[in-house]
Amino acid sequence: MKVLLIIPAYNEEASILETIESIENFKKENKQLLHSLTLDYIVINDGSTDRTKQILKNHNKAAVHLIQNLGIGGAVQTGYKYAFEHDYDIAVQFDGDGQHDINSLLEIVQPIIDNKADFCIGSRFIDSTSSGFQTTYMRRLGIRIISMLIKLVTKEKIYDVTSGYRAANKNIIKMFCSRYPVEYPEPETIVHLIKKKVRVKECPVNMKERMGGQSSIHSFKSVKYMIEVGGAILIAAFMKEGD
Amino acid sequence: MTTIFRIEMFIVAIAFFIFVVRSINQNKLTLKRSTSLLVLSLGLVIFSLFPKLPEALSIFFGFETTSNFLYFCAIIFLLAFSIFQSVLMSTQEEKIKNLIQEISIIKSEKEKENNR
Repeated sequence: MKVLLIIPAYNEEASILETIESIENFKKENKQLLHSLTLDYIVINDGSTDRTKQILKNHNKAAVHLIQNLGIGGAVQTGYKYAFEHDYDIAVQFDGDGQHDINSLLEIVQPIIDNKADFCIGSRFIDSTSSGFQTTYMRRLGIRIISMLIKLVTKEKIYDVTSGYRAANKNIIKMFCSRYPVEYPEPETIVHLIKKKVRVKECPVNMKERMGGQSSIHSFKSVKYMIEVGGAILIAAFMKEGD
Repeated sequence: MTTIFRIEMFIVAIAFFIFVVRSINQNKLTLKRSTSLLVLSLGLVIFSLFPKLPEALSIFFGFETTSNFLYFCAIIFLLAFSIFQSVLMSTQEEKIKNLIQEISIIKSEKEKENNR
């Protein structure tokens, strides 16, 4: 099975190399554990204005450099398109800022290998002992509200709705290639997938505080984010199966 | 409708029509995107030349005054026009995004091959 780690990066010069090295080390240290898996990564450099591109080129790391900045959704979708074109079986979103712990990779990939889920979300909240980093109170409150909204429209409880540590099987890769939200894709895609009767599973993973860079949800505290995400979820609630 | 209002409407409609036609000929606007604008300006010309027509229509649709009827039509037209514009813009955005993604993937792979 071929697994691709999609690493969206926007101005991550401080942490991108460290992130890639952690993946390479993980591969070396866990050869036996990964025996049947081919693990590759691709950095999607979303038109960074810092030295991210230069650093990646100098160290000869696998990367797609977007010629224009597309935002997180467009960058991640590029990764899914790359995965589709290169015939990967599983695609995993993995942040370039060092927030996600590569050692939790198998937690979210295994359910897909075992065909117990189509889409697996790495969660900080499902088991609070799994993750050292639990984010701020305001963010947790926002996440809880979004989680309630999703439960309201899909009848399924997903705890870590904004988690960007997610694994998708081949069908989902194909689905994401043709449609992926641009602005705040994480919560919205969850609703889309459940509406399409996809088996979504949440697994505990470890997350750390970011090493550098900025969260794509910098306006999290603002009401704007909640209104936009809430609106997107409510609109998606009226989705029909053929949409 | 008063004569002054009719003259104003006629002048605005003709000016608008000329502006649209000139824009098409100067290649600033495509005919495909301006058909509705041309039809609108022609409609305004016809209404100002034959005021009995909008008056009869407004009575038929139950409006108290002809100007109310004309305002209502204008709002409906603008609403429809802006929705179509937004739909068009969204599809354009999607197309541009797809192009950026495809070109970026191809470009990065080409560079990788060249480095080998």
